[in-house]
Amino acid sequence: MTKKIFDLTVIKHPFKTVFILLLGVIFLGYYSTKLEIDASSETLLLDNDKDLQFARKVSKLYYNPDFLLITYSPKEDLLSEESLKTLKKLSDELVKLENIDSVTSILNVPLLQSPVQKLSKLVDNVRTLEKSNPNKELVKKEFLESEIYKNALVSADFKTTALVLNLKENKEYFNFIDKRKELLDKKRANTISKEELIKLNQIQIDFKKFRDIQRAENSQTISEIRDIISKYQNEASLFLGGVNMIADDIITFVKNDLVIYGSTLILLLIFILWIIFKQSIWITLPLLICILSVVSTAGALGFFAWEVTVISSNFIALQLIITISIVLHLIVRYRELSSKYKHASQYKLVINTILSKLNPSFFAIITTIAGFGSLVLSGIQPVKNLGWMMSTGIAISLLIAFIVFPAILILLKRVNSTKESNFKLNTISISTYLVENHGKKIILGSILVVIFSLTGTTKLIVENSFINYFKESTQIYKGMKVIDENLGGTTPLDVVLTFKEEKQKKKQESGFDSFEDEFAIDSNDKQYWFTKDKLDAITRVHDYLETIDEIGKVQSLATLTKVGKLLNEDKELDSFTLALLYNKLPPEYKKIILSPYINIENNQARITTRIIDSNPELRRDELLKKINSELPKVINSSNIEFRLSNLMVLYNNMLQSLFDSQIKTLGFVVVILFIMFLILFRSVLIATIAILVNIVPISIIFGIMGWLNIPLDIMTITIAAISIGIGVDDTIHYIHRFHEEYKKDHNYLEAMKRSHESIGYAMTYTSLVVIVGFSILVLSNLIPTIYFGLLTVIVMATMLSSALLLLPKLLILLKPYGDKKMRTLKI
Amino acid sequence: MLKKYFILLLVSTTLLFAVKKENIEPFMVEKVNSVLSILKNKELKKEEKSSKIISIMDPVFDYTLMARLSLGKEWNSLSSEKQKEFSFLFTEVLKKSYLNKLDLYTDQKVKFLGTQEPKKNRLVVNTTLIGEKDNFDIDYKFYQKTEDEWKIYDINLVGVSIIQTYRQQFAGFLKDKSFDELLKNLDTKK
Repeated sequence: MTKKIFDLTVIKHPFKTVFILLLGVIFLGYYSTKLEIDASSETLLLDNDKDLQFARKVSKLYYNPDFLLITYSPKEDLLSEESLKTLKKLSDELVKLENIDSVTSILNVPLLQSPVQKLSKLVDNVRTLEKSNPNKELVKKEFLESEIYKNALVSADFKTTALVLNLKENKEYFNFIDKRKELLDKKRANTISKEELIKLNQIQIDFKKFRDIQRAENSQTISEIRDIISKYQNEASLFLGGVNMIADDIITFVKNDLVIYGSTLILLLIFILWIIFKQSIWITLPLLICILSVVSTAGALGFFAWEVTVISSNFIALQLIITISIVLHLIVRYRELSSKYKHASQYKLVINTILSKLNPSFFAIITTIAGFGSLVLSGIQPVKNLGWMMSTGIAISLLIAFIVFPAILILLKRVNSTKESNFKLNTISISTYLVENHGKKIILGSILVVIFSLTGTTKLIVENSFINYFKESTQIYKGMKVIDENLGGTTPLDVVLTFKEEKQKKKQESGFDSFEDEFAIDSNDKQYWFTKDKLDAITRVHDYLETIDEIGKVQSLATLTKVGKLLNEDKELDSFTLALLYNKLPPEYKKIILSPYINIENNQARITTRIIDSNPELRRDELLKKINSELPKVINSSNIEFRLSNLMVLYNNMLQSLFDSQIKTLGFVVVILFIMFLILFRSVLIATIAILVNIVPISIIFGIMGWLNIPLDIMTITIAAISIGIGVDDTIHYIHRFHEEYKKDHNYLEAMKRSHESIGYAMTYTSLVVIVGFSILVLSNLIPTIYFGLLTVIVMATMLSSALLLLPKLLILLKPYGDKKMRTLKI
Repeated sequence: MLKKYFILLLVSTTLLFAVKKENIEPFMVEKVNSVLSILKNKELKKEEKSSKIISIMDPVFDYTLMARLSLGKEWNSLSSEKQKEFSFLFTEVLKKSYLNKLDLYTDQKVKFLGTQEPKKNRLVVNTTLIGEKDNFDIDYKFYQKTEDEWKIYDINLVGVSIIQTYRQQFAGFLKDKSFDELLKNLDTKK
């Protein structure tokens, strides 16, 4: 049946088939130009996360502009005329940029303690370094000791200061989010009308366009800032940092990786294919199939508008691995047949190659899809996308390989292997020898690997640190390190306190009702919000957060009251003074010192902190759990609710959910694989052997990560699914071949030797190509890509060893096809 | 000379007697000016200043009412002993706090802006403290205690009512703590 289909299409009409295929590729190729890369924080968040809704609400309620940071470490003293002049010039240049709303620096922040003056005077006359001419010793002391500025605006050694570039407010973004949420909620509740559904689709399209524009503008602003700071590098050491920066730099690195490593990978593939086969057809054919597959997949991604994110940035590399693996199996089989049947026609060779490889390749691809498919079950859009992307991509690869390979070859004369093209590896003979003579050691070795993996797995940690995404040599790493260590930390974490409204008590009749009414009218006026119970609770939480080592800068209303106490002759600011301050403070200062920390309408206070991301002791999930469990005691009031918020919580949610779903889906994938093996091999024993030889090498990844303290993060966490995907092929191809060989003489040992001599080479070549090719990723600027490269190399090597040593040993030992010799003897 | 003595006599007599509605403004002008002159007197120690100012203002404040208002409806649930205890502590704290607030006065002058009658038995004296750069509005809120007697029950400073601030404060405190704890807290502050 399959033969007939091939005969009637590809073999009979190779030109037509390739032409139709090319039309399809061109169509998809057009869409590949629409492929987009998005590394913004948006892509990494869980869409249905309640904490995300809360964080968005919080960011709307408080003055909370997006910002970028420039760290400025002048050669001269920080407060010298020269340094301040340069800083002024730099700020003036920056503030002119279109997307920058204002620049906050040591020049324009209010000086409250240089010298200490009475609160009453302070409100009348706010001093700054720029406007007045304060005593610089006092200014230095204030910056180093003030609750507001220390470890945030200046470093403890007073060598570095931060320029905060406040970006223009983006109300449109929230409009989109709100509108989309409203309609999505209706859609989930099944109450959406047809018109609303159309509207929702339009909003999704418009929001995407809007984000594309934003991304471009953001990138433009960052490059303009970089241009400006590069002019000042002679006078000071300057770095740019901030959350928006991370996304932009990741996009740049991902783009570079796609271009540089994609093309280098192809060159390397050419080189290795030449080393192995030394025949140009075996270089051009796999490359042609690889290129057509990658272009088509990129087109499919563009067509479905699946954006490439940090997580899916390696899709080209993955696609290349899988495609090359399919083609190499075909080539090795063709060459095997060609050397065995010296007089067979090209048609016979091609059709037999295709037919003998279609079944194992198809199953190998199906199992790979099952591996990647497990990602679709995660709740995180970019991970789901990676699952869809790869599933689509490898299906495309299979189709293209099985069309292009026979179509091209049928047009050519038969290709005979030359002497030079018989590249042989010692690995095969060594593994044959080991399986035959040291079987026990192989089993023992595998048990040791499992022990190593299990012990390592218990040490696994789930962490995601942005600073560790970048190499130490990159600008962004240096910038983030300075901010992290000297200027208060990077990842934001908020504690939001909500003060419950007092229930209206029953009205009691008394002669004082007219007074009561009089005071009831203005009791909700904003200035009366500042009561001692609230201030005390805020201060307790503030002080508690400051005791935590992993937390850098803590800021809240308590910062103001602490400074206020200092200015108020060490007497605490009472509610009356705060109410006065609230009424008298000019709006521009209210915006800086009150609006980020209180929301009177909602009876809320926000305590903001920044986590020291580079702290190696930091365990994000544990830290959040600790704060959540300890805060009720600290707050000590049944009338105050608290909730943690901001990026730290959101990323942790995402990671924990990914971890949970990965653990669950890994189990699911193993079961699915087992069922597939059962269908394919029709034997419980073989399916069990196949599963075992896959689990052992995959578990080694977790062992290595656990023992080497490599955390599972959004990138490395997908490695298991990917490993199953690409590793399972070897097992299927080997068992398939072993079965064929066993049928010839029913001798396990001989079947193993013959299998090694044939399919063993295809497996080794495939692994070799992937290992050498993927080693190039070690040069990437993105650490996750480096880990990905290294771990893939390890998976491929262990998978190969497992398939060439453990798999045959188990087959020989457990004799899943029965023992013919024994049976004949008994008879 | 005679005239001076006459004015002194007039002032001291007004201090001894209750304030009538029509006298409220001149009475307050006198009181405030007296307070200012005490504040400006550099020869006096801080404690002396405080006791003099308190003795000037004491008769015109209705501390018991202020205590009752600051506690709101909670007042009605208290025994008369507790009410007395609270009134005493509150008065002490209020005086101390009022004296602290006088730090806001430096070399400013007070200007009387007139009076308002928001209700039949209420009267507000609007004043402004004129500083070098900024002015502070201060409103004294009177109520008619008896037919002939008007007393202050609240002061608004820059739109902030002292009594309202205490009301919010105490209500917040009593959310989680008992009344006895509030008394203890006031005791530490008096």
